[in-house]
Amino acid sequence: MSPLLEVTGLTRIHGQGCPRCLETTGPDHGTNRCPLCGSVVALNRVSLTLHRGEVLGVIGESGSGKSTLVRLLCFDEPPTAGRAVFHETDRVIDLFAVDAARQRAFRDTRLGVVYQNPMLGLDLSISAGGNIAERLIASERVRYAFLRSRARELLERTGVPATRMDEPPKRFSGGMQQRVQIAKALATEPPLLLLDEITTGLDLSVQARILDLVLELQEQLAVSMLVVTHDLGVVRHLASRTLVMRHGAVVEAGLTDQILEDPHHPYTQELVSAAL
Amino acid sequence: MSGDPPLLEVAGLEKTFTIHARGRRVVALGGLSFTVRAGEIVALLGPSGAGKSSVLKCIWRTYRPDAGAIRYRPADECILDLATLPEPEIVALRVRELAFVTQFLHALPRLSALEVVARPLRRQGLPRALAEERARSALAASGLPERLVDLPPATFSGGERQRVNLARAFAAEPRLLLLDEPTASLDPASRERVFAQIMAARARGAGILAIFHDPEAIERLADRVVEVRGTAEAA
Repeated sequence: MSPLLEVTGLTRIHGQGCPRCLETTGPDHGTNRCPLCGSVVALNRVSLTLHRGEVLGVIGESGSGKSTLVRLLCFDEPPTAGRAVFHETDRVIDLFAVDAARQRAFRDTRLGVVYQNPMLGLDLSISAGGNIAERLIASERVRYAFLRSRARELLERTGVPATRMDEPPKRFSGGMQQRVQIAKALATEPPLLLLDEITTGLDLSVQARILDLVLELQEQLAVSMLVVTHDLGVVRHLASRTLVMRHGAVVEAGLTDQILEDPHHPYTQELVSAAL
Repeated sequence: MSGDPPLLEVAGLEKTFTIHARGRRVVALGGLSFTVRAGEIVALLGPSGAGKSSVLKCIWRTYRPDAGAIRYRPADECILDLATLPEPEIVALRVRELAFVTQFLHALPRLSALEVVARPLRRQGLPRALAEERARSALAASGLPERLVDLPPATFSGGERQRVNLARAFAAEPRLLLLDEPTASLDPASRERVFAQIMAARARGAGILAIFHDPEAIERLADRVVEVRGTAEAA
C-alpha cells in the first residue's frame, strides 16, 4: 500500500503561544490550555498516514481536536506548525507550503469534504444540481450540458432521485441533504474525501443508509477517506484503521477492531467501555 | 508434506491485558507455541477462560500480542510475523488470505446476506456477477434458505446468522481459517453441512485453527489438538 497523505507534527495553537505550550498540554496533562500563557493547543503534533484506497477513522469527544484537523486539511485555517504531504502519481504536494491559489486548486479538484452540517457544504437555497455544478465550475469544467449530465449522474449514484435535481436542498430531509453533499464532494472525482461527523444527528436507519452509501462509493471509486466521528459504530463499519484523539493529540492508533477490543490507552478504554 | 515449513508457526505467544480503571493486569496467554500446516485442522482445547479465543484474536491481530512470534507463510512464501506486521499489511492479508469466523456476525444493518458475503469477494478483485454467484453458492452450501438470501441478517435467527458468517469465510477461500465455535448455534443438519465445508477447505489445502465446544467435532475433524492453559505451555 502506498501513502496518499502523510501528516507530520501538525499543530494549531489559538492565542499568542509560548515555548512551553506543547509540553504543558495534551492528554497527559488533562487539558489543552497552556497554564503559562493561556493559549489553546487545538492540535498538538498530530501525525498520520492515509494510504491509497484506505478508510482511516479518527475518533474522540468534542474538543479533542478532530474537527480542527479537518479544518486545517481543507485550508479553512492555517497550521501553527507541521506538514502535510500529498502524493500524486508523478509528484508530491507540500500542502501548507504552496501558495493560496494552489491550495484552492487542490481543494477544488483533489479533495472532497462532507460536513456534519449541510449548510457548511451546500448552498441550501440553490438547486441540488446547481450545488454540484458550482464545484465543477470551480474546477473549470463548464459546458452546460456536461454540468447537467454529471450532476444527474452523481445524484443518482448517491441515491437522490433525478427528479429532485432542480429543487433546493433546504426542502430535503437531513439524510437527503447529506447525499447531495456527498455527490458534490465526489463531483471532481477527488482521490481524498474528508468526512466530518456525517451521520451525527440523523435517524439510525438513515445513518445506516449513509454509511452503506459511503462503503459502496469507496468500493467503486477506491477513494481514500478520513472519517472523523465521535461514534464508535461509524468507525467499526467504515474504517480499517482508527486514531483516537484527546486534548488535541493522538493517544492511540491501531486496527479498528483492535482499538475497540484491545484498547491500551486509559482514555480509549474509557471511551470503549462507555459505549458498550 | 512434513518437510514443508508450516503455514503458521506460533512461538512463545504472550498476551496480557492492563485494565487501567481497575489498576489490574490479566494474563491471558503466557507463552504458547504450536504450528498449523497447510491442509491440516488443529483444534484448540482448554477450559473456558483458558485463552483459546485470545489465541485466535492475536493471530487475527484484534489483540496486540505482548511477546512471541506468529510466523505466517503467505501465498508468495515470504514469511511474515503477524505479531509485528504493519497494520495496512494486516488489512491486506485479511482481504486476500485469512478468514476469522467469530460467534457474532458483524455487518452493516441494512445489507442483504448476499451482499455481506459478496462484498469481501469484490474486495479480492472478483467482478460483481462472479462475486454474487460465488456468494449464492456459499450461502446455499451453508444451508441458508433461498428466501433469506436477499434479506438483511439483522432479522435472522442466531443459527441463520451464523450460516451467513460461515458462508462469508468459506466463499473467500482463505489460506488460513480461524474458527471460534463455528457450530455452536446450529441444528444437527446444518452442523453436518459446516463439517463438510471445513473438510472441503482442508482438502483444498487451507490450514484451519478452530475452537469447538462440541467433542464430536473434535473427534471427527481435528488432525491434532493443542492445549491452551492460560499461562502454561501447550502440550
